[in-house]
Amino acid sequence: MHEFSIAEHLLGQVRGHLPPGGRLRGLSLRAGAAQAIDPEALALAWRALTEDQPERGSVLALERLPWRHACAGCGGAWTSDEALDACGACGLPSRPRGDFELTLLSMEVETDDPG
Amino acid sequence: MTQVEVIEAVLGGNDEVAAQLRERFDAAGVRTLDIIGSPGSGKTALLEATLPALPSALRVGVLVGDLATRRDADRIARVASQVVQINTAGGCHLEAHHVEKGLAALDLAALDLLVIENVGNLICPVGWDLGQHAKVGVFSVAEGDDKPGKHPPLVLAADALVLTKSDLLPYVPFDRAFFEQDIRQMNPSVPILEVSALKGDLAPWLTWLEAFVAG
Ligand SMILES: Nc1nc2c(ncn2[C@@H]2O[C@H](COP(=O)(O)OP(=O)(O)OP(=O)(O)O)[C@@H](O)[C@H]2O)c(=O)[nH]1
Ligand SMILES: [Mg+2]
Ligand SMILES: [Zn+2]
Ligand SMILES: [Zn+2]
Repeated sequence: MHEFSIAEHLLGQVRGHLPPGGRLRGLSLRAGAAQAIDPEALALAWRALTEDQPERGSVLALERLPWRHACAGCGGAWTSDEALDACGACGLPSRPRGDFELTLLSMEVETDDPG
Repeated sequence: MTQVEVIEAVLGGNDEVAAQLRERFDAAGVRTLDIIGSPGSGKTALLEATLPALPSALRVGVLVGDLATRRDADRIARVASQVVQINTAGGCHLEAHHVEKGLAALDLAALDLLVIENVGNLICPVGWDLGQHAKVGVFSVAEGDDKPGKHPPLVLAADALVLTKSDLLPYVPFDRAFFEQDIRQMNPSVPILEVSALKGDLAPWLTWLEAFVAG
């Protein structure tokens, strides 16, 4: 549900970066594993929030980073969608690493400028 | 179509307000806690039992976040010198601007400890900085032993985890070792403080809290 609040923060942020006369067509985001974001819920919140706004129809792309694991036993390293995971080689439970990052990476902007 | 590179934190606005709040808390010498747990986990009951058990010289204020009503504030008002209810009108977590607004009704100079009871929710509040000095996660025996494993962000972000309603351990299936094992896999060092607000069994939590207030 906090996806709606995130979408609101995002809209303010996007407007701050939009060049004059530009229309937003897309935006791309990256979320760390610990930032528990549901990509579909965020896309839905974005659509609902921009429905009657100039940003209507803009497409939100979210890349969710996986949890990073490193085995304390054999040194093996892997990534996983699961925070609680075990080493495939020696079976040891592994401590997950992931951060709370949520970053607006870029925006696709359409301008009326003929060139 | 032009591609505009941004690379900027989406919650940067919240983080800025939170940083200002932290400066205000530090300037006033107020230690601040953000308490996060699911609805009904026992956050308010924990505060009701804790505040009277603290040294009487310690001046404690409470900000209570809820979707609606001021019931929790009314409960806490019986034991705290200063209480402010913040209603989020449907919002599932507190943000730094809520706390900033709540502070308008508090006298920070007359406090040593400020406790923020976040909106009952195990997921949404975790990623929002409120300017606190520590985050405390509350789990209860009644919710089941699998909750930490299902909520990694809180377990990773918490400076302490409280397991409350320990008086219910004889009556409900709850594997204490399993509960602890999931937590330890994610966060090997976080203190796990077992309490019962109902019985007033609060010793490990009070010890942690007094050390926290001392800085
Ligand atoms: N047995 C037992 N029940 C408890 C304990 N602490 C709280 N409760 C009960 O749990 C229920 C919820 O307690 P609250 O303190 O209102 O929980 P909360 O986390 O503040 O709830 P919200 O603010 O609505 O999210 C109440 O019926 C309490 O009486 C405890 O230590 N033992
Ligand atoms: Mg409460
Ligand atoms: Zn939510
Ligand atoms: Zn291994």
